[in-house]
Amino acid sequence: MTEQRNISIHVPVLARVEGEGALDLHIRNGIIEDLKLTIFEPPRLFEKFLERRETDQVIDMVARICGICPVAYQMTAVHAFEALFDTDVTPWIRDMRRVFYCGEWLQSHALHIHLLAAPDFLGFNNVAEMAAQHATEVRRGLRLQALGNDLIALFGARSVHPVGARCGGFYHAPDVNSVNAIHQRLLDAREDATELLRWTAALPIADDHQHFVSVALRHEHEYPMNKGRIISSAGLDIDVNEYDDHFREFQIAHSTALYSLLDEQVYLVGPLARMNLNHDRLPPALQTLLDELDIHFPSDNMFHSIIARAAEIWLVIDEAIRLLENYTMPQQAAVACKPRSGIAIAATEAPRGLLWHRYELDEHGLVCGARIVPPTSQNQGRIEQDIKQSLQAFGLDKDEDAIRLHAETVIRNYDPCISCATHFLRLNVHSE
Amino acid sequence: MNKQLPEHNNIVRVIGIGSHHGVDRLGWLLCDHLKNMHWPDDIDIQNCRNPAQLTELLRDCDSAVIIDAVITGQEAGQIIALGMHELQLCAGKHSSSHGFNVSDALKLTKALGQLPNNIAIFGISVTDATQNADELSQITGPALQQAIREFQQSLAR
Repeated sequence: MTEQRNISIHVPVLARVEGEGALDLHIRNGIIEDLKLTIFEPPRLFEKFLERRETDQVIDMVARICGICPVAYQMTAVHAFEALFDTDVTPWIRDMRRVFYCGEWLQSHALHIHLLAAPDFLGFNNVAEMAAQHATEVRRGLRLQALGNDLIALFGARSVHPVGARCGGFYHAPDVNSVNAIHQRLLDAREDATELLRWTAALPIADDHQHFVSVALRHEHEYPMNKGRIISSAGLDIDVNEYDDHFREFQIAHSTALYSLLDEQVYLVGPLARMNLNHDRLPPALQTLLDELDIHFPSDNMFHSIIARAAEIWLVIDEAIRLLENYTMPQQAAVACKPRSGIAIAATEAPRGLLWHRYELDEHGLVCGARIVPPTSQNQGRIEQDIKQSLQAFGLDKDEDAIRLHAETVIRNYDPCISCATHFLRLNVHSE
Repeated sequence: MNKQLPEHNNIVRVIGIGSHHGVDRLGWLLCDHLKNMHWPDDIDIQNCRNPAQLTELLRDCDSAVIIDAVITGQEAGQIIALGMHELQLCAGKHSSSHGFNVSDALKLTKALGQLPNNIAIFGISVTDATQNADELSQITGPALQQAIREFQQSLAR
């Protein structure tokens, strides 16, 4: 006779994620009856704040949405406005924006791998505990994160909420000496990136295969960052302007972040989705290294996200080295933009995945409506689906602490940025 | 231009922790205030943008002073010498990005064997997040300068 077993797990505050969220899980007789990733961080109202603002003000304001991925917000807004204004930027501006974005992926991924995710895989409660046995790896992670921060500051004047980006380019071009100094550090970091990839490939990662749909940008010849079409592993291939024809955002009671569906199905955005859909765009040397380590994409194991992040760190260091080689000061760090009314739309790849912006501008070039769809809100449905599937594979007969830890590990694996996701407010105003 | 530091590691690094938001700027403003004063060559004053950066700033110095705004219930502008335990109590779960706060950063620094031999943590009392950081830095600056000088003198004994 099987013993009946009911478990209720409540994780009131999720640790090692950005922002405030919780998990409620009810298991009855070996079946998950109810599971909610509850996001209770108050709405931050950013889209409303952007109204009646000029486009360059918007670019500085959206950087404040996130301290970890401000460049993603800035670049998405810049590309949206420039698409509306028919602005053609110079090759220098395009290249340096990619370097700017490389800095953000580098610092964000290095932070997540070392301070947030790796302790879960190695059985430590936090990075301080892990550092006692893995000091070399933690030091390497901090070094890589610092390099990413400095790369952002090179163009943005500071790494948190940078202020260097504008419509048409940058306010300032870094001088040759500063670029040469950071170029040398990037060259030195190549070995760190290779060792990091080897280390993540050797982590004890659960064999947890699931079916999910990956969504990411796809560029004609680059690994996607600033531009591309939106594609999926289920065959979607659309222009960013067609986003609303396929994706639907909606509110549910237990979350202050909007949920998002693609053709009524949950989906994944982020490093693993990007890698699954764009591994053929990786440089040959990285593909060779991945083969050597017996790492193969696409992968249907969500826990391979940490390896995808490490591979992207290798990629962005390589990209930044290439783009900063033989750097010279440009004649101009920005081209002129001529604002006009209309709808401005763009999508870029934030460290955590696809980030989509839509702005409506009036005849004075002021924003009169804004919509921002960040990666974490898009991933909410997938995270809940993953917890269910992963816990079933893990074994619901395990003790409560083990189940709780496994569920938290699944969530942290997505590097959710709850603060980014809770910026909306649905207001129904009734006036008499 | 960066100040030329002595080659030995007998540096006293003064680190102001803060962000661009509200009264959390206080640590940075106080460091800006301190940078305008006359100091011996072995005093190095740095702003720290997040706790994760703190480990790197503590790496190559023998002594350090950490300055951060804290909500303690005491009168605003008070300088409170904190131990690790008090710091942990001040650091709420939501006080920092990814739940990684100053206390966590110091634990990590210690685990990496990079904690300076001498360390002082000065919490600057604020009553709530909406207080005027500029005003508080003006009030607290001279007393903080004195506290740092006393810390430096204690190292020589």
